[in-house]
Amino acid sequence: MAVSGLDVFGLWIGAALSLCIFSFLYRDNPFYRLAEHIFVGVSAGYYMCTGYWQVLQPNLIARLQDGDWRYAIAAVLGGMLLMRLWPKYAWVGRWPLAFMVGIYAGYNIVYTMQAQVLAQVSDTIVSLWNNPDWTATLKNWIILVGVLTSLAYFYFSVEHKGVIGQAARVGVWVLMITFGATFGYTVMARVSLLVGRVMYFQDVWTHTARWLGIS
Amino acid sequence: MLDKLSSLDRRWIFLAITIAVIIPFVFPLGLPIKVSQQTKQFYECIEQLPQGSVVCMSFDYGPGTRVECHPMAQAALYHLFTRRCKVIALALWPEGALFAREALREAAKETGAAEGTDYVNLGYKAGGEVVLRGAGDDLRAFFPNDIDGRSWDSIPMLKGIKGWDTIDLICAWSMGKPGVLEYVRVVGGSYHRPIITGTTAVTAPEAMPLVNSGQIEGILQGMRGASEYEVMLKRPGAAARGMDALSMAHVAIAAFIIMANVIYWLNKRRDRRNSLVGGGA
Repeated sequence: MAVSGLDVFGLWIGAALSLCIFSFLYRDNPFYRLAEHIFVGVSAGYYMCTGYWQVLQPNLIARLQDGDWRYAIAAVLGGMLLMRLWPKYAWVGRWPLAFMVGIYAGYNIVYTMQAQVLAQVSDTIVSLWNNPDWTATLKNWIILVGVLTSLAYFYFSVEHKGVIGQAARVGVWVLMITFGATFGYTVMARVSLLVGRVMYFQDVWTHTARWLGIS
Repeated sequence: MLDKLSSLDRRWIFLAITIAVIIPFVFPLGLPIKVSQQTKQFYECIEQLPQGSVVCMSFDYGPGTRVECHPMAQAALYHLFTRRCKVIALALWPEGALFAREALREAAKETGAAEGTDYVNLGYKAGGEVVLRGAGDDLRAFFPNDIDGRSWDSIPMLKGIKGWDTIDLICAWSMGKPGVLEYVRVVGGSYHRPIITGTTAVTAPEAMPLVNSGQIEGILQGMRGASEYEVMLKRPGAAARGMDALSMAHVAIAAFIIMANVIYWLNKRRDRRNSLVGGGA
């Protein structure tokens, strides 16, 4: 693959900005702030352009230009939402906000119940005996005990004493193990980002070497 | 010594982890990559697709998680195109459409797939779950043109495609919201289409219950999942390249956690002894 001087220049800009950001690990400094400001500015510009060309233009302006005047209602509601920028008329923005909250709440109740509550509850109704092997039986028992004890921990209508107290204590352990696993995944994700940057630095070097004709 | 270690400047830890990540790039270790059951399920879902199947691939990630999601997308596109499947790419994240373009072009170059007949990039649409619901019976209403402005009717592979019912498999690369959860709720819940996903490691715990319940049929979890998939395809890519470094960093972090706990325990024991001596005096 041919590498142009402009490509190499772009790669070095990226590498330099990455190093500026990493310099914050040592301490706050002007290089870090420079990179941070560039990032904020570029992101704001990018999202503004994307917002206009990929959201407003095709979904509203183009449809109004096509003569579909139903979208004028959406335009008015959008305009009302912008009134929140003026404290005196901020109350006008509450109406479209209420509309959005209502729509999303109605939407989510149905789908959340279907996909996240009912499906998950049915998945906890598992066979505790008569499984093909003992590992499946053990897994099903762990699911049952884990769900019941975690629910016991969040059951506040009775004092956590006796059987409920013991179950709640086991529930705490289940939750702790869950948090530990989640933390492990988070560590993996963050380290992956660092690995990604190191691979980028390696690519910068490889491409530069290729451009200079030394590899 | 204990006091010194207890108040160790955290910059030493940053330095140690950086060294742990860099060393495997200079001296590759070639650690084995064991393929997990979830990755095998993901692979099998694509393997079992008949030739000519239409797969909707959703690119719902940004530059911050490119390192985790992009290798998965590249590998899956390679897998799908070599199996002569067709791909409709779309994005619920603004940057996703650009990554889709990049991944599709690379996969097309590698496999000879042609734009318009083997794949199409419909671009980004704002609205998340609302888009999925609205496009349910008529994808064209929400995506009248592809990312380059070509109309739906002028794209040969879109003939016969209407709503989610006409899609054989959903494959979502997901780093958060909107992402695979929205697909499970709308496309899985209402249209009963099979869904596979590749998520960032942070998102994986949220998606795992959905895998266990069968709502998601296969999952690639973070860079590790991507590397396992690359190994299954016998096509090592960016993820496999970074696995040695990821493993080394994990060893370093685990060592620091163990060390910190031992120091905490020794400090506690010393304080207890001191208080006993002080109490006795």
